[in-house]
Amino acid sequence: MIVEWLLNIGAGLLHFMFQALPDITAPDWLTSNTGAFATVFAGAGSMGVWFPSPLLLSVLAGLLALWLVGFGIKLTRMVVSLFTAGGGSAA
Amino acid sequence: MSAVIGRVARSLATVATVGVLSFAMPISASAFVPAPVVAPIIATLAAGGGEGVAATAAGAVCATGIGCAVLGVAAVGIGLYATQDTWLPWVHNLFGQGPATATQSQCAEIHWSVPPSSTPGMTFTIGAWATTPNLGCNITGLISRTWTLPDGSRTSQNGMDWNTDSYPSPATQPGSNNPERFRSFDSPAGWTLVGVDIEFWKAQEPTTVHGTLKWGEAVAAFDPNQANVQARVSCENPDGSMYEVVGTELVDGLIRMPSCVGALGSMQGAHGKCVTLLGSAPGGVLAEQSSTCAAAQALRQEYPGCVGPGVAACKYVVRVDGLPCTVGASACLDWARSAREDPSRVTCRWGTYTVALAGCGILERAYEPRVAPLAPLTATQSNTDGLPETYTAPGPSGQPQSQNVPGPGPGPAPAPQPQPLPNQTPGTIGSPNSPVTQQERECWPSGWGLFNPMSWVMQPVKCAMSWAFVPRAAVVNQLSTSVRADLGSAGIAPLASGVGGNLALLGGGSGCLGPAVSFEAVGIVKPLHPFSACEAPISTLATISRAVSTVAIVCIGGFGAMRAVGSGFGFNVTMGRGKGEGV
Repeated sequence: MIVEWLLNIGAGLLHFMFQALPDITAPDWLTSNTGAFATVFAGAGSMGVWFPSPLLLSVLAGLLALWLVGFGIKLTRMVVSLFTAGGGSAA
Repeated sequence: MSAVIGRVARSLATVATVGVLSFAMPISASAFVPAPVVAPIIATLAAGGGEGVAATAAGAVCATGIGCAVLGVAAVGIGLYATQDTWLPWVHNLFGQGPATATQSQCAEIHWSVPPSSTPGMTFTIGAWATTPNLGCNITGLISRTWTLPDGSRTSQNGMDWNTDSYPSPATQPGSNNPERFRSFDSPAGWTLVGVDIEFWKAQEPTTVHGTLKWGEAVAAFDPNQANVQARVSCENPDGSMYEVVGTELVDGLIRMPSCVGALGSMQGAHGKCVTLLGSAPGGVLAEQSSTCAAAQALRQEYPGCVGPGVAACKYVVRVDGLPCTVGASACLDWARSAREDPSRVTCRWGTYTVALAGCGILERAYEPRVAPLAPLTATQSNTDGLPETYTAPGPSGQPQSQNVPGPGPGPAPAPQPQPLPNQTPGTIGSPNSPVTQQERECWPSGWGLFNPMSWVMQPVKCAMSWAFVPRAAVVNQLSTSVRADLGSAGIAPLASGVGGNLALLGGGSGCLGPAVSFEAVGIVKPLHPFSACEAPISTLATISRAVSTVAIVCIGGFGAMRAVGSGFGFNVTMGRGKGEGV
């Protein structure tokens, strides 16, 4: 129930935020296969013999995931600390 | 995020500098690098807190010239070892030992000598040799022979090693350093030799080359990759006229199915009916391997209303008491149980045809009401209490379906009623009296459990905690669906897909040429490849660069992972020197 309530609030906030945002249309230079971004990224991808770009992306994605995990752990500790009798906050 | 990117960039620059300096060490006039010069440079590059592993570690190591040299040699050695498959064959080729690219068909050839009589069943001889030994093909391995028996069946015989069970031929084929070897053996009475497989090894990879013998002629080794394959699709137009399309394109070893749409003789609304696959050895006659046309013809004869234009109207529908089921109809909620109790009540229809009930198996829960029109149903849980009224699924609303179950016992019943975890083991306490409902077993002790004080506390607390903190799967699915819908309506999804598509280009490059650059404005039309690493010594530099980058990314990533996880527990993982903090 509690988690459901929190999830409902979160989803409601996201819905309100997305409704408040203006309509976003992806620009052609971002989505086109021949756009500027695609040309630059394709050029960077062809440098794979010099630099392992896929490995870098994987490591960055893993770091982001671990950062989110650490944030989740910290958040959980903060919530749990509210229920303990003393001991200080884990914030 | 920008801070993380900045730190990564500084660390990479530091490692690159260390790598260059270390690589330059062995070729410099003096192996001594003055520490007061190197260390401050490295420390400056990593300025911003000094938490970079490479900065402090490199600074400490390169404080002495020998340390820097060792670090550089180690980095180069790691890179060379990791890429030995790339440069070692090149070295071999340079000294005349490297194999060129070979195909299976160039690896070996099988032939046989004409027996005294062409009648099957006589003694015959098989010879084989490697056509081009410089390709690294050596005839080793086992031989298997395929025979056709008098009853038409086929069998294979194995267990013969070509090197030990064959004999060198006095004649050596021109252009071959491997003399021909032959083997003579008798065929069992009435058996006809169909083919012989001799295993060839190319470098370190086994390559089985199949040789199909024909009486009276020499046959080159059969390369499966050179086989002739064909896919013929029978297509039908809306007016009933038929035509055929043929496909022969192989993609990654699989034949691509040709399309009926747009082919010669096609009309609007044409569709495929069946497909026939044919194959043969190179130069051979195509023979049918498999076909679905016979089954399709049988289907047309048995269900004529569900082929051709009528196929769209043929859907699987369950009927209970003669009425077609709809979502939410009470009689259809558990039609499978109704069918077990009284099979005459339930039928399965495919269009207008009554088919076996198993054909509607996928519709077992299709008529249960859902939270949203396209929301998925909750996972089926095992019926552990054995009561048919609390059947397999608790329902999308999370409520038990039975209304004839006693309440949970003393105390207020929370609404909505708590749902146990799917993997929660209901009760570890034996009881002579079975609990009445699953809910009672989960939240309140029963039977002998009433005399266990631990159960008075543990079970209700566990049940309450589950009820409070474990969200229902249906609710989670509904919320995720709504969030996805909001993302799509706000235009975030196209942006994300655009960014994702561009990031995917980073991993899509291959080859050694690097990006192409052209200067058409000044008349240079032919694209240039300034970063080409196809030839030495640039290829060696590129390999070293990739190896050093890989090591740096992995090391920095590992340190970053430690910091990310440690921060959740309040640990500030650093490698700083003299800061009073650290692991």
